[in-house]
Amino acid sequence: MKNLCKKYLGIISIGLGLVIFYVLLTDVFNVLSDFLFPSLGQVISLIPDYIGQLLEGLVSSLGLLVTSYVLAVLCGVSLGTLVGLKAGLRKNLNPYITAFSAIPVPLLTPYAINIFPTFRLASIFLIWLGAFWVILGTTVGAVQSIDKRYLENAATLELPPVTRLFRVILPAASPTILVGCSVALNLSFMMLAVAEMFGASSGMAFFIQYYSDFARFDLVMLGFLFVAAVLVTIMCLFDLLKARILHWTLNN
Amino acid sequence: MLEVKAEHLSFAYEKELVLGDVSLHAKPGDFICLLGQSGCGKSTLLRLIAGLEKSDPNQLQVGGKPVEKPSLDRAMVFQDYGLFPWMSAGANIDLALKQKFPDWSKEKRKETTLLWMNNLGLEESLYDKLPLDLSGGQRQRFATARAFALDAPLMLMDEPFGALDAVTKALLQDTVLQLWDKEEQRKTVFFVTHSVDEALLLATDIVVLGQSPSRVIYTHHFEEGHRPQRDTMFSDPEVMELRNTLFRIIDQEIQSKAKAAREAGV
Repeated sequence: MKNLCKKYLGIISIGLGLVIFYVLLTDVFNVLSDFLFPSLGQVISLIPDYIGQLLEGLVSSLGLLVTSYVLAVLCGVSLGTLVGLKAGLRKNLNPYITAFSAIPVPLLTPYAINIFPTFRLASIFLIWLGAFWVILGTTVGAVQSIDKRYLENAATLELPPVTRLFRVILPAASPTILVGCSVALNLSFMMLAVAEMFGASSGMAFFIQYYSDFARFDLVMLGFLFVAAVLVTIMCLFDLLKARILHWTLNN
Repeated sequence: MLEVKAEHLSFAYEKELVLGDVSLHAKPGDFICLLGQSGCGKSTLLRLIAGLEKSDPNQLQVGGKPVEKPSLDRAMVFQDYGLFPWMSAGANIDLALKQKFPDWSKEKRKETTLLWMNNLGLEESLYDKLPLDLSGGQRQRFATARAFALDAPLMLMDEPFGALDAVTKALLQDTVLQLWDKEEQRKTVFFVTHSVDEALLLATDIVVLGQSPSRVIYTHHFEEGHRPQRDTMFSDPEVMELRNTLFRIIDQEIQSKAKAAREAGV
């Protein structure tokens, strides 16, 4: 425990600093409006009454997020690898990938609601799309720019296509692909908030939106803190996974 | 133990002619050292033999057949990137063995890997180390161990010891020579080097390539039992005469290239 505290001393110090700063601005000097920025004590006291609702929202949001993100990774990496390896495909598809990825996904919300039979499917589609373009683009670039010498090494060993893909191409491209996956995860969080703004009956963003409509900013603040804690946890888990996959690189 | 025959071999990267007219004949078991100035096409010739570049089937044949693509019969040792950095050094050899000997059990592959690691002076504890955690010399030993473990009849070594310090280089030269020499049926080896002394020490045949677009400008064959030895080569007048000849030929090529560049106004 002592070692853990020492390891994360910087992070813990900044977190404590932010809490102290907020307490000074609210409880001590009353600089901020207590209607929009309730005291931390007041927000914390709401946890027992609302934890059930928050956890229900978490399950709902994670259901959307995990389904969409995993599908986006599978589609983006597999299609990106194919396009990255085939110069002909790359040449013909790249202009379209660039064009489609430039369309802001939130603008497609009306189309998604109209096309898909349920709001949930529309939400999954929008989160998926937001993550997909980023992963596709970075995977194409990553595979295309693999050091030729790795591929030549694989060629001299006569590695069959599947072995070559999983033991050479994907590991060699993984540093860049994972950067794309990380950016896509952040985008997925944003798209999750957009998706839960319409049609959802539960979810982390829904919780904030719902109580914001009733001007219950103490609950809005609770929602913010809860979302922040969940996002930090997910990003930490992602970073652990990334460090495990990239254990062979200099930076790890 | 493969024969390599190049007859009037030429090759160009897009419009730049690298090999002009190269003819050579490596008999099974020969240790051919390719010498020449930078950019003369030594590595290109090796890549053509490896099948990493396309050659005219009438101009280059290995084992009596045209070279169509890379093969496990032609083990390659690169100067860099010989090992995949995302798998352990031992797993690099294991992957190659799995490919060459698909019927072998996991235990037999590991046993063979450890045997060749031992032959190359690598401790067993290094099996699980990532290439990143090894020194340059250890990485190159692993790459060489993999090439020998594959038991390919033809070995292609592209300046494998070029980036190593003098002591490690000498140790690896001796190890490679011993391993090649002790086999009943010696492998045919093509070894690219910039170093005249390295060529004198290792080769059964020295082939010097001229400036690009290159051709063979000098060859020397050592009779069996008359190859220079590390401890006596610098006191052997015949070897020293050959050494001077090789330096003079390479220097003349460099001078003539510089003169041609001056005349062309480059």
